[in-house]
Amino acid sequence: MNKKWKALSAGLVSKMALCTVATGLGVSPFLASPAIADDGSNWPQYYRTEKAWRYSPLDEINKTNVGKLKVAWIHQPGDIQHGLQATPIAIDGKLYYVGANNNVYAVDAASGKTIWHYKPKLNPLADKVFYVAASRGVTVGHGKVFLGTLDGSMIALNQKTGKVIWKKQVTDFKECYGCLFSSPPQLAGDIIYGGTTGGDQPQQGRIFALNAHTGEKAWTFNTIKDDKKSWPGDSGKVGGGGAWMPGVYDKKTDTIYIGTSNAAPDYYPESRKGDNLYTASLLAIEGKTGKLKNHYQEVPHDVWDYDSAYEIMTIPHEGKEYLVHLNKGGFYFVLDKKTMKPHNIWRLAKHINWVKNIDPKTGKLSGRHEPEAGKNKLFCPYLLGVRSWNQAAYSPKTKLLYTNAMEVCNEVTGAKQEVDKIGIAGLYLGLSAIKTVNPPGDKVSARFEARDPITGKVKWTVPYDIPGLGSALATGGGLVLNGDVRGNINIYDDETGKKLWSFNAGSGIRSGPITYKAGGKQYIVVPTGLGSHAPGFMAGSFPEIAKLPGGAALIAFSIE
Amino acid sequence: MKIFNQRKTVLTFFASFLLISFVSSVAAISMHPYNEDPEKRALGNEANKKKQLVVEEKLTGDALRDKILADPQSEKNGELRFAQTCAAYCHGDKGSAGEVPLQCQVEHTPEYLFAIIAEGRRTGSKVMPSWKVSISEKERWELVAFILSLKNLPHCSE
Repeated sequence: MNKKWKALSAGLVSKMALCTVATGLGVSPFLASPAIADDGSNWPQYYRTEKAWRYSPLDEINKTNVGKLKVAWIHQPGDIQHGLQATPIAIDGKLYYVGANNNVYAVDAASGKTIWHYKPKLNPLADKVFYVAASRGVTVGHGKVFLGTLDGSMIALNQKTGKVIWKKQVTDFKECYGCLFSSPPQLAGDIIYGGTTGGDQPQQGRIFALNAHTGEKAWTFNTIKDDKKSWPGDSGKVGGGGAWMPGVYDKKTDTIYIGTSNAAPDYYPESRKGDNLYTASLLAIEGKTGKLKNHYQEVPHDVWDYDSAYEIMTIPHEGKEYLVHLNKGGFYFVLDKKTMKPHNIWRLAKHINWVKNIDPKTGKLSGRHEPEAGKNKLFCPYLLGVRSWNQAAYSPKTKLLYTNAMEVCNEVTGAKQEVDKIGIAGLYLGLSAIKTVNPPGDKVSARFEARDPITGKVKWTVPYDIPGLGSALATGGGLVLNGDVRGNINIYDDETGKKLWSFNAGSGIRSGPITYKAGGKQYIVVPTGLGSHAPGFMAGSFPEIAKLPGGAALIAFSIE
Repeated sequence: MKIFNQRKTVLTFFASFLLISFVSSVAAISMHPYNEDPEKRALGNEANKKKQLVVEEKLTGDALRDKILADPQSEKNGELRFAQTCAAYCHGDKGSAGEVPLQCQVEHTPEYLFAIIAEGRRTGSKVMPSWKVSISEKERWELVAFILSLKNLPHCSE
């Protein structure tokens, strides 16, 4: 009791101090700033902090007592289409999350009771586009809850009531082949910004920024560079691109780091013989102006659907900061954060055949193996990548990166595709056949593993018979959580990979599990419920996945 | 009698009309500039094809279904569209993946498949968007022709 009170009051005092400092500076206390995040009790933004570690320092639940974890409460959003893919936001005893079809909930973080519920009226066309139903979360700050919608709008809700403060149609939804916000737009100070879907569609993917307070347009960044050398002829007009995962914001330098999608048409690049900037790239963009400060293109002239859209971690190493980033093509890129030049590039995938190598110091691709029109060719990894978009975690205690990985290849026949025959839900992949297959001399496989993020050295590996599709979570209690597609929520020892606890949720994990404190007690919350297009396509190589049930339930665990 | 006379008048009128039409068509063909220039003739064929397409596109419902399902080319057109639109990310090569089996399904009727493609499907967590604004009626029947062929794959009889 005494101990609890002490911890509670210490937390309260430190939080009050931070609030005072923040308010004194004229900054909202919940600006998703690292200062707030580091007090440990909240999960204030998508990756928890701007370092994108998916790590919480909380250690009340740890290796010694994790076996006593029990379900504390369950919240069900009701709509289970495409499962539950969100990462909830936890701030001061309240959770904010989004279920299928943009159903936003505020929930009491200790009891699971609904505080408010909001559902936007979506454009009826939202049922007729490719990326239907699913969202990855909301963002909280400035007293608002921000939602990027399935019809290309951004909405700011009152954090307390869930009432609409402003709503803006951001994309030209009908014209851009239904480009929409599948991920939560992120805050960069007074700016709310987000990229859209569209790497596989004949359009130009953009990053849109609005004034977070008013919803007025601030700037737009076109991920397709206006440059005829990079995009010959009119190829750039239908070049794909976009930035469909959340970026991270470095407040010190007012820099947004965000990754971009592949170029289109994916497997038929005849018309776009150039480097196709800024697709398959990491961008450093000035938050206030939208000006490009720096960039690094991981896959110049991508012809394999190898996006660079996944999470960008910032990891300290020997006195410097590095951006650590996985490309779908199977390589982890470790870049000097200041210069965005490679420090190291290492292989997560065992089977890579699209290049012979990428020089770890220069980033130069050698021995490119490219698709050809009318020829059936094998490429490893397949178009879902060595991992889907579900993120890795990093623990500063073990200095290890925890990630899912899979080994699947595809055979693809490149083909010209007429743009005017592609409908709003259509894809511009530039192919006439595609099939998932075993890697040469091997079988499809999957695993969850711990690696040194700088060198790629393997610390431990846990084999999975079907690839994990949920994000990992690491904690100060020495735990690493990773859910599987059958609904098993597994907690491992972060140093050895030994399974310490497991619970079957009844439907698979395709979301971002989090941990936080509410009422002085640590909770682990796992959004459960399998869904999304990926399991369908994966069924070509992992048939059992098609038979697994869907669902949607936010399950909270605690120790009594 | 009166009726017969009326019929006779009508028949005579039609016969004369057909004769005049035939004579003028022959004259038109022989005088047509395309007959003198193969390239122009080809262009003319293209134009005819387009006209034919317009007629096809005007067909709807059962008439269009019957025409497309009877055309051996439909299955091939459907196969290409399936690969480009349905296989990647979802149903896999020849429907070998996906959350709903498409191969070896003897119960699939053309109308059922057509309706699902048009309206989409939302069953539990499984979602397929509606394709009716993305894919024309004709193209949907071509997809149906291809999907129906998947019940005849060699492994279906094993």
